[in-house]
Amino acid sequence: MKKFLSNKYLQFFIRLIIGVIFIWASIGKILDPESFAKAIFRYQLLPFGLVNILSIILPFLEFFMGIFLLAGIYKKGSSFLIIIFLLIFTVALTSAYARGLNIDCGCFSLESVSSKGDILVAIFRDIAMLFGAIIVYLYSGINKGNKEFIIKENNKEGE
Amino acid sequence: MRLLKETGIIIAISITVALLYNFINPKGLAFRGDFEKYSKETAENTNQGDPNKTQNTPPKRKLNKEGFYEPSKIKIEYAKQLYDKQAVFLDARIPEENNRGHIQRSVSQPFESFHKLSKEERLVVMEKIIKDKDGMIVCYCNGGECDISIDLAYDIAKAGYTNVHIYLGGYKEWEDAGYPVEKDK
Repeated sequence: MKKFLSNKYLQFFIRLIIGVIFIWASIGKILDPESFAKAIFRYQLLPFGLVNILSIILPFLEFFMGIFLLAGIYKKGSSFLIIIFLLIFTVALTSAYARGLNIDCGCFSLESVSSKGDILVAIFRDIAMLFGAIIVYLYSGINKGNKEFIIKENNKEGE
Repeated sequence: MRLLKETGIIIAISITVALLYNFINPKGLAFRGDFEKYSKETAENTNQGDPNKTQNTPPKRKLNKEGFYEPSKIKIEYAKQLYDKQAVFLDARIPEENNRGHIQRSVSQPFESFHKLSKEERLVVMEKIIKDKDGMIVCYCNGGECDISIDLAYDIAKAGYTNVHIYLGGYKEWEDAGYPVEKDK
């Protein structure tokens, strides 16, 4: 199993998907920060004072997390941050869903008001990406950098 | 340690670029947002709870953080109920449009001229129409794209009225439904 999860093609595939999704998601927000601020505001989760600051910084965090993950630089750091962010997004979405808010998820395009079904889809999408990011975090670099680890693992399997 | 360094670098780069970009971007945001505008648009775009329920049951009135009772969006069924209960209907459109046709018994209160008034003047105008601050008020305009009914409702709510509703379907939907209208000839 570990061998499979640390397969460099699988690793690259996961990084490609999550990286592209994060970069793509950040572009719309970077181009239209005000709509994103409104989307955050509608979640009614944050103190007012933090809404705008977050909507200035969060899109760029997403953008750079995506870039770093995709480029394979600082894989541990970027996948760790992505895990944290996906956890936060999932909690926020779940709380909006539970409170019955009919809000725009603020995930990608910022125009529409989503139905409750859309929010559910977003929650599942986040959870799926979360699994992907955890695989990258735990198993990236095992093949390349840590040969001893692989040898140990192989020995274990042989035993 | 390595993790701390990597996350730190990513966060630092992001924050630096974000702040620089926001500074340069003509659409950049102030650190503190215009929350009155946000909350107004939130009322416009979101409908808390099950939208089917809000049609027929009176929405709960809630004093918001800014100290006025938030106007609620209502649908045609509930608007008709309020109409039958003798609620005051206010037409936010310009008088010419009002003359072309309006909901029966409704009062023309163009948003444009109302908005120019001071808070005290608004109260005087409103008291001529309805004295009871808790009286039922329904604002409407043409429906569809128009949003002056929302703006008017907020102005009235801020003037101290507690039971203000916005009928988004507007005159067109009302007329199409065959409910009572008046047209000046």
